[in-house]
This record gives sequence, structure tokens and C-alpha cells, in this order.
Amino acid sequence: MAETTQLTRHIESYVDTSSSSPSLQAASLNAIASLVKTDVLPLEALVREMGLYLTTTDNVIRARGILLLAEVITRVESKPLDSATIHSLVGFFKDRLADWRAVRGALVGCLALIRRKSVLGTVTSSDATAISQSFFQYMQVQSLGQYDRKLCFELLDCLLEHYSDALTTLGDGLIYGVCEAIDAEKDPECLMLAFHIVQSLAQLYPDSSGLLASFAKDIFDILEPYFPIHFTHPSNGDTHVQRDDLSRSLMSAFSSTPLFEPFVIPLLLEKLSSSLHSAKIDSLKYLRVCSSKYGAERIAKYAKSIWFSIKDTLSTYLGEPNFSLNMAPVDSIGFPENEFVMEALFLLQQLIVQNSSLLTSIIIDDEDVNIIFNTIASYEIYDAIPVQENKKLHAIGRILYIASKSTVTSCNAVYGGLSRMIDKLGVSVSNTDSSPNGDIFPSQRVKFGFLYLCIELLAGFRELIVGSDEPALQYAIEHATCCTWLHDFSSSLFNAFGSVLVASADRCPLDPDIYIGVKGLQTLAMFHSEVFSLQKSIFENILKKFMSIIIEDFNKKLLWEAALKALCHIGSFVQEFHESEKAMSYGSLVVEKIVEFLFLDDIVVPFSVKVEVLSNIGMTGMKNMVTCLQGMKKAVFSNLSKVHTNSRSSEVVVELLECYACKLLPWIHENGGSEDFAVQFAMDIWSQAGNCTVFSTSFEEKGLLDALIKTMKLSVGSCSVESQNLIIQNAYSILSSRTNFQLKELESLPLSPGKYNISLTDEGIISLFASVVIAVCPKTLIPNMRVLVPLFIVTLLRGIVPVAQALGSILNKLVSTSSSAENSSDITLEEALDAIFNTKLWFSSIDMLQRCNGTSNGKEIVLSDICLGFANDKLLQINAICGLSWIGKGLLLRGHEGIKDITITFLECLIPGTKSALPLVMKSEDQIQDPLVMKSAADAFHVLMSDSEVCLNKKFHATIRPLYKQRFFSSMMPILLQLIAKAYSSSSRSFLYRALAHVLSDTPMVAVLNDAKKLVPVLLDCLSMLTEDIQDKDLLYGLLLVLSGILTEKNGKEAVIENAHIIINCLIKLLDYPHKMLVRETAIQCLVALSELPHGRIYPMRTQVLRAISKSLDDTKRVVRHEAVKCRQTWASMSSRTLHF
Amino acid sequence: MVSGLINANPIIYEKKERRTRTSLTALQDEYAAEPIDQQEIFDHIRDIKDPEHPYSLEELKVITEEAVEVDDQRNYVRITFTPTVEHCSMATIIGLCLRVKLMRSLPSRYKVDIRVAPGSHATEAAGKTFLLFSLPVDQVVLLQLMHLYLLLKLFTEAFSIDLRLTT
Repeated sequence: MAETTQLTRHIESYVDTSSSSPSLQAASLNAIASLVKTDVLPLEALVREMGLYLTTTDNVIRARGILLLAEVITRVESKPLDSATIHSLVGFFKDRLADWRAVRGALVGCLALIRRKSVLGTVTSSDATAISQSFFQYMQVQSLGQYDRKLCFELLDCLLEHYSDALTTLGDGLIYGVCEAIDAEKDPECLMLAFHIVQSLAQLYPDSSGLLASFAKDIFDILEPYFPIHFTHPSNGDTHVQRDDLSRSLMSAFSSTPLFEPFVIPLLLEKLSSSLHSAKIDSLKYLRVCSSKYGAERIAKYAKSIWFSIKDTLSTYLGEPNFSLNMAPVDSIGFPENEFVMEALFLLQQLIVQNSSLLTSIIIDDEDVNIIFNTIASYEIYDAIPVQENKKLHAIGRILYIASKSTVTSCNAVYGGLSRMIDKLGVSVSNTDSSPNGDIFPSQRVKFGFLYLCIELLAGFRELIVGSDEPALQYAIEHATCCTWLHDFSSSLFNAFGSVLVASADRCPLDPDIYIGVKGLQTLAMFHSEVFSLQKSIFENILKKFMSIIIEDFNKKLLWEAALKALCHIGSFVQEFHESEKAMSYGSLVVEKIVEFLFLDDIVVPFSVKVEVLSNIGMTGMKNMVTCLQGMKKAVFSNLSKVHTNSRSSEVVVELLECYACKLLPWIHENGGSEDFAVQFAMDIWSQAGNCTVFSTSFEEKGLLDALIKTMKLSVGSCSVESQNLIIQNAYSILSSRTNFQLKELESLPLSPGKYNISLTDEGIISLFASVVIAVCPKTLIPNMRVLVPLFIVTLLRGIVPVAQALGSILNKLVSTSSSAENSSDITLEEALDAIFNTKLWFSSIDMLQRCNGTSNGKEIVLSDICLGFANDKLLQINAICGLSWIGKGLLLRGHEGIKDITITFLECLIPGTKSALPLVMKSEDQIQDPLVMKSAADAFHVLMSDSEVCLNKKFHATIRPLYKQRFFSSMMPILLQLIAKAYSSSSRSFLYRALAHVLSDTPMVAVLNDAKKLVPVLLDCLSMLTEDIQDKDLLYGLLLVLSGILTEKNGKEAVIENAHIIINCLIKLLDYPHKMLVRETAIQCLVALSELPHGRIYPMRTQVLRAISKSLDDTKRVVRHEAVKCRQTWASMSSRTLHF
Repeated sequence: MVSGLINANPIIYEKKERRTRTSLTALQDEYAAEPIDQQEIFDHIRDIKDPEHPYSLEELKVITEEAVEVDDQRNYVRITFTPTVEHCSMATIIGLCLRVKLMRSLPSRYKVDIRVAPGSHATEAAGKTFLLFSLPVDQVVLLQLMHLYLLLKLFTEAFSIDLRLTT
């Protein structure tokens, strides 16, 4: 009983709209629905309970009651119902359709019943008929509101979809009803449904003698006004229907039955000539879809008029072709994209595919086409053709292209037309057979227009072949007349295209002519040999032609570039489609020739261009790449051996290595090539390095050594661990055999750098070895580390940076606990650190300056003490600091604690007298370090913080801890700030500022922003300090960027409010910084950003800023002036618009 | 009195493409001077909106790049503008707009000369002051005040007199 009362309450809350909120109503509905769903409340019981609500004379309550029942039925659609229940519900709802005040409930109910799945009990077809009868009898769809109309259409749509058989019994009543319902509908969502209803209706009566035939005109009259869809409804509204959706569904309604054909096609043809953009586009689209649906027979009678429209559209909208090989697609001539042209060509293709014979006869017999065929003969170069003719030529060209790519029949037909044209032009086979080389082909016979059309035809035919995957179609093509025609004419075509190049090369070279020649040859060379096999000799002649241009005609820039592009295209095609025979010709005629070209000593083509050509040709395919690389290697080593006799050689090698490292290696990597070559190349460099006589001189050239190091690093870096192991073993054996001093000696302690006589060659070899160490993976085993580390330390002190970087990499990549102890030289991180920092270096007194007190013969110092100047040798100290900075970077990146000691060492260099730093020096008046030393200590922070390209990055497999910069920044900042505050000597302070500037400018902005308030004053001091030296301009700029970052961030703005006036003063000083334009520009931008601070803060500064900025209006650089105008405007308009101050 | 727009339906021309300058030498050489040239001045004034249409002076072809004459050495700029219709009473306002914009954008060493293209304006010979009388009264007063102010300012600038002292 409790349930019943609760149910009544739910029902009442839903039905009585005046007292309950919508959310409450929804909750009640859900509650009732779940009761029914879980069988607690049978549907019959609900109906009985609701009794009076469904039949009361109160319109509002009755409507709500019926809607409640309908909604409940909608919600229990997954619950099986027996047929009697359904029948009685149908009876109820169908009758209620007549009750216009409660019609929504009736519609929802009917819809819910109609939509039921068959297994759960469905409406019988007789019931469906009854519903539709009642619907057509009582419903005045267009008099209802939008939502109810939508329900009506949904109901109709569902009926047509699921109960089409039942509906046919209604006869013409159905069609009348539908027409009445959809007539003059305007709502987009309803229209979508209405169009679909028409489509379903049309499918109901497919045959032309059916009922629909007599009503086609009436239905079409209702649809016609909607075309073209003009829809300006905002897309962001609650409706999700877009113009394109509507247009598409109207299109399917139009094309739903061939019975519409007599009305639709004339309409579309008429609208095609409209000036309205959407009408034109839609007409073309609709025509395409309709013609495919209506069938060839019905369309045939319109073919001619459609053809004229297409021709018209093309000649109006087709732009100038793009005669540049850079942009054009590989296949056909490129045109600027145009919607009309695209749609028109699609339509044409559709028509040709549908009815080839008719369309091709129309095309071939067309007046314009024939005019083009007949008149173009008189023009020899592109520029001679009048504009109008030219336009026609392009349009016809496109049409022929489409015709030849659509079907075999159409292709044959247009080729037939072409041969007619050839007869007229007098280019006959016999004519050219006598001159197979084509060089003596008379140039006046070259007809631009003819060749232009040939290219379009060839391109089309090529695409036809590409699209033919089925063997049957391929067979058809092989035996088509166009194929035989092409066979007969390919040599004369080759001659013709070739002679264009010769002719145009003689005359002042014109873009289009060169394009036509090159493009023609390229297209000819790129036919698939499975279907159409071009004679081998012709293919080879084409390649030869291009190659002769490459080798001889470098001064004809356009032609030369075009030929190179074409060769690359052909190369990629041959590789991509596995044309083995052509690949062989290509390999021997192009790739090998290009390699030979590299060795040719000619003055016309610069060597860098030759390298460029080589890399371009190499990139056409892996096989070609391998050949090119071999050639390149040969060139590198043959030139390396000549370095000491020929000064050009080292430049050549540098260029080759640059190309290899920066272009070819990444290409091989991307295209999944094997690393064999890279490994072999690195090995070969090492075996050359072993050959001392050759390499001694080559290492003396700085540029060459740098190039070698770079190449070695990149090659090694891209290899697998196994290959790296191989390379490093090989390198080590050469290192230990070649260097003049014994590696063994290094194991005895203490090290005495002065003792070893390291020659320049040795330095080179060590640097090269260091570059291998820099690039290896952490897993790669570096042999005999115990000897290497001391060796590196000794060479580091001589100022060889790669060695320091190698030490940094070693420390960065070593594992801290020895996991694999099988190798004795495999040391742990701790051992390596120990070796680096605690190895005593022995200096004899000769090494020391005279000021040394010299009580003993020498002394032993560790590395960090050298940094502090214990050895009393400035150069040594600077080298040590530089080395230590790279070592520190290695540690910093992996987040190792050791970085602390290193930074303390640097800081000690910057502040005098903290530690009894110089015990050996007589306590003189200056305990301050030499300025150069301090500068290098400050710059060490730059090394620590900046991202390096040369080592310790992802490319060279460094271990990089996330946020290491932020960590370092936050640990360093307090120390630096404190030291700056305490520093009493001005030079010491200025170098501390410098260090701070380095740290600041390389830290991510987010970290800086948090401390902005504290940092701004110091940052300003840094800025004014850095203006003094020209060499600091980049650092100054970096720091200024930090400031501008702070100024533009919301967080930072708060921090600068207090310091606004000092910031402005500082920026004004930077406005005339003469050494870097970007500094001035950024300073002005900062001033603009400052103008957004609270008015009271900055207004007092306004006059000062305006006065300063008016000077910037006369800056030497345009960009600065431009910014100054903007800045002046913002500051001037701050209070009034006057410029008076 | 004129009511409504003076030229209700002006011809809109296409905007000229903004050329980006790519002189590598100037970029590489930090100290190379880039003198103020025609294009730079045109860039300053091309976006000024027409007094009665939401189009820029460039779109209405009131000014073109060719109409800017500049001599950086002699600190001299001359703009010749062409009103859209012959009887355009907005010519003075356009002139003022141009002048104010250039005063704000150019270094103070420049003398700016602005004139109507010969033959493009009905009252060109009669001088600008005449034009003022074809405007509604309040506009005339405003314009005259602005004009007077500008003249005064130019005068004081030319003879280096401080305005505050003289008034």
C-alpha cells in the first residue's frame, strides 16, 4: 500500500507542472520507470493507477498524463512486452493523435512503440498502418511547434524505415500525407529528417511505372526551393546541423530516384550559370552524384549541355599553371587550387567513367578542342601564345588529362585525337627515325602547345596505369591503342622534349619552356614498366640528357635546377616501385656519374654544389645512398692524403664531412638504413689516424680536426652499443700504439704534465678519441679507464676542450656501483671521481714562475687546487677551470653531489682571501685573482647551465635529470646573492654578477619568477655592469630577456612595482646601447610592458621616458624605430593624447 | 549643409602586400644604418582609418606608397593624398590625421609637408581654410581650433619658442 501512495505522489509531481520543478519531475519519471523496469509495478497497474489523468477533461493534466505514460514506455524499451499490451497501447496512443492538446504525449508514445526491437515485442504491421492512418488523418504537422514537428518527422521516418510494407497499403494517401507534412518546413533539424523521408519514400517505389512517378513533380516542387541550401544559422547555437549536412541530405533526396531526373538536371544546369558561389559548387556536386545514381542512359541526353557547362567553368576559373618544379606535384601540371575547377573535373571524370564512348566523342568533336588542336601548331614558345588561347589551352589540357586518366576507352580516343594533331603538325615517326639522337631535331618544329598537351596526356595515362591494380585492367591497357601509339612515338616525344631544352637553352631561357621540356622527359621516364615498358634506350637517353645538363650547363641556373629535381623524382620513383631494370640504368648512368662528377676538377661548378647534388641523388633511395656514400668516402680519404700538398683538399674534406654528418647521417637514420656504413666510416677514419704520416699535417688544421671530431661524434652517437664497442676498441688500440709517449707511464703517480711530450698529432688523436668517448652510450665499455682518466687530465691542462668534455661525459654516464666487474679497467663513478680530484700532479720548479719560493724541486697539486692558482701559472689555471666546468656539467646533469665542491672551487676563484689560497706565493698586496682567471671562473657557470650542442645532450646519450637547472638555480641563488652583498672589492663583485647573470639567463623562466622580487635589484645591477664591455652583448641580451619575461608575467609584475623607477632608469640607459640592436628593441618592449603598471607608480616617470624614447625614434635600425613609435604612443596616451611634456 | 555621408559608396582597393625586408647585410652588420625611407613612412600612415568609413586610407587609395616623398638627409617628408571625391570636405581631417600620426612617429628633426594631389580636389586652389566652411558648425570650430593649435605648435617649433612662455 505504501508503494501505491508513493507512486501516486510521483505521478502527481510529474503531472502537476505548477508546483514542482523540472528536476523534480525528471526524478519522479525516473522513479516510475525504474519501478516498471524492475517488474515491481506492471505496466497495466500503472495505466490503471493513472486512469483519470489520462482521460480527464482538464487539457493540461491530460497532456501531462499521456506524456508521462509515453515517457515511461520510452524508458522501458529494453523490457519485453507482450503483444496484447502493445496492441492496446497502440490503440490508445493512435487515438490520442486526434487530441491536438495532448499530441506530444501521443507522438512520443507512438515513436517509442515503433522503435521497439523485434525480440522484445513489436508493433504489428496492421497496428503500424493504423498509426499512420490516424497520423495522416489528424496531424496538421506544419501547425505544430518546432519540437512537435521534429517528433512527427521522426515518427514518419521510423515508420518508413521499419514498416514500409504496411505503409504501401495506404497508396497515394501516403504520398499526399508526406507532401503535406514537409511542405514549407524551415527548421534545419526538421529539414534533415524531411529530406530523409523523401529519400525513403523514393526507395519505396523504385520502378518508373510505380505510384511515385505521377507524384514526382509534386514532391520535387516541394524540394526545389531549398536548392541551393542557404543557411546562415550561427554554428554555435543549440542546433548541431551545419550547412554541409543539410546540403548533403538534400543531395541524397535529389538523387534518390531517377524519376526526379527530368526536373533535377535542368534545375542544376540552370543554377550552374548562377553567380552565387554556393549554387555553382552545389550544382556541380549534385550533378556528379545524380548522374551516378540516375544511370548513363538518362544522363546521355544532357551530356552535351553538361559538357558545355564544364568547359565554361574551367575556362572561367582555371588559374595560371604553376610552372615551377619546386611546387608542382610529381604527376601532372600543377594549378592553383580552385573549388569550382576541382568539382568540375570530378564531374567530368564521373561522366567519362559512366559513358566513355559518348563523352569522348563529344570531347573529340568539340569545336574548341579542335581549334586548340589546329591552332596551337603555330606557336613555338609559351610567351607567343595570346592570353585567350593560352587559357583555352590550359582548360583543354586539363580535360584531356582527365579523359586519359579515367578509362581505357577515353584514353584511346584522346590519343587518337592527338595522332590526328601530329599528322597536322608534321611530326611523323619517319621524320625522327633518321635522327635518333634528337640533337639535330630541327628546333622550329618544337611546338609548345603540342608538347603541353602531350604532358597532360602522358600524366593522365600514367595515373590510369597507377590506378590499375587488377590484372584484367592492366591487360586491357597493355593492348590498348594508346599503348601502342606511345610505343611508336616515345622516341619522337623524347626528341621533341629534348629539343625544347636545347632550343630554350639557346634562347633566353623561359620558365615554361624549360618546365615543359623537363617535365615531359620526367613523365616519360616514370611509366610503370609492368604495364607500359618504355624502351630501355629511351629511358637511358633521358637520364643521359639530364646528366649532360647537370655536368655542362651549370650556368643556366633554371634549367640546371629543374634537371636535378627531375633526376631526383625519377630516382625516387624507380626505387619506390622496384623497377629493377630502370634502377640498374639509373645506378650506372646517374649515381655513378654523379660520384665521378665529384672527382672532376672543373671550375664551373663549385664543389659545395657538387656535394649538394650528390646528397640529393643519394636521398632518392637507400641503394643509391650506399653508392653515393662510398663515393664520398673515397673522396674524403683521397683528399685527406693530399692535405699537406694541396691547400684545397682540407676545404674539400671539411665540406664533405659537413654534408655527411648533417644531412646524410640523419637521412639514413630516418629511413631505417643500417648503421654499417657509419661504423665502417668511423673505423676507416681511425685506421687513417693510425697512419701517422698522413695525419700529422691534417691535425694541424683546426677546421679539419673540428670537422673530423664532429663527424666522429655524430657517427658514433647514431650507432648501436655493439658497434660503439667495436669502434672504441679499435680507437683505443690506435691511440695506445700511435701516441709518442707510453700510456703505461700514466699509471705511475704522481702525474707530471710537464714530463710528457705531447705533439700536435698526439693532441689531435687524443681529441678524436675524446670525441668517441663523448658520443658513446652509457652501456658501452670504455677500455682501460684507469689510464685514460689521467691521460685526459694531463691533456686537459694543455687547454684541449674536447678532452674535458669527454671527462664530463664519462662522469655523466658511469654507474655508481660496479655492477659488472669482469673488466679490470671498468671503474665505478666513485673511483673515477677520486682519480680526477685526488690525483696529484707533479710540477717541477721549471714549470713554475720565478716567484715560486722553490724550496723543493717541485710540488704536487690536485686539480681543484690548480684552479685556485696553486701552481701559479695563469694559463694552466684557466685551462683547469675550463676543464673543471665540463666535468662539473657532467655531474650536474645527472644530479650528482660532486657539483657542490666544484662550484665552491669556482666561487673561491671569484672571491679573494676566503681560503689561504696562495700559500706558495709571497703574501703580496693583491690576493685577488687575475681578472682573466676570474672571468673564466664566472664563465664556467655558463658552461654548467647552457645547453650544449657539442656534448652532454640527448643526441650523445647523456643522463639528464629532470629540472636539474631549476635545482641548481635554487641552490646557487642564495649563495651568490649573499656573496655579492658581502663582496668588498669591485672587481670581485662584478665577476660575481657575471656568474649570476650566466645562471639567471639560462634558467627556465618559471623558476626565476618565484624569486623575482629578490632578483630584480641584482638583475638591474648586472645589466648596468654588462653594458661596459662589448663582448658581453649576448649575455646582456640574455639577461634582458629574463627581465622582459618577468615584466610580462603577472607574477613578476607584482615584484617590479616597487622597483619601477630603477627599472625604468636602467632601461632608458639601454636605449642607446650601440652594440646590439636586439638589446635596444627589447628594452623598448620592456618599457611598453612597464606602462601597464599602476598609474600612480609610473606617471612620475612619464616625461623622462618620453624624452628618452623620442631619441629612439631616430635610431639607426628600423625595427627599433618601429618599437619606439609604439612605445611612445602607449606612454604618451597614458594620461592625455598630447605629446607635450 | 551636407547631410549623410559625403561619399556613401567608395571604391575599395586591395591592400598592398606587406613587404618584409630581407636585407641580410643590415641584419648581420650591427652598426649599419637603415635610413628612413618611403616604405617606412607609408607603413606609419597606411592603417589610418578614413573619417567616414571603416576602411584604411590605403584601401581607399587616398594614399599610396608612391605619394610619399622622403629625403632623410634633408629631414623632409612630403605626402600627397588624393581624396576619394572631388568635393570631399573630409580632406582637412585626413590631412590632420596624417600630420598628427607622422608627428608622433618621426624624429623631431623632420619637416612634414602634406598636400592634396593636384586636380583631385575642387577647392584645392582656394586653400584649406575655405573648406572649413562647408562643414557643420561644431565641426568647424573643432577643426579650426585643432588647426590653429597645430599651426601654433609648428610656428613655435620652427622658431624654437617655448609655448608655455608665450601664452
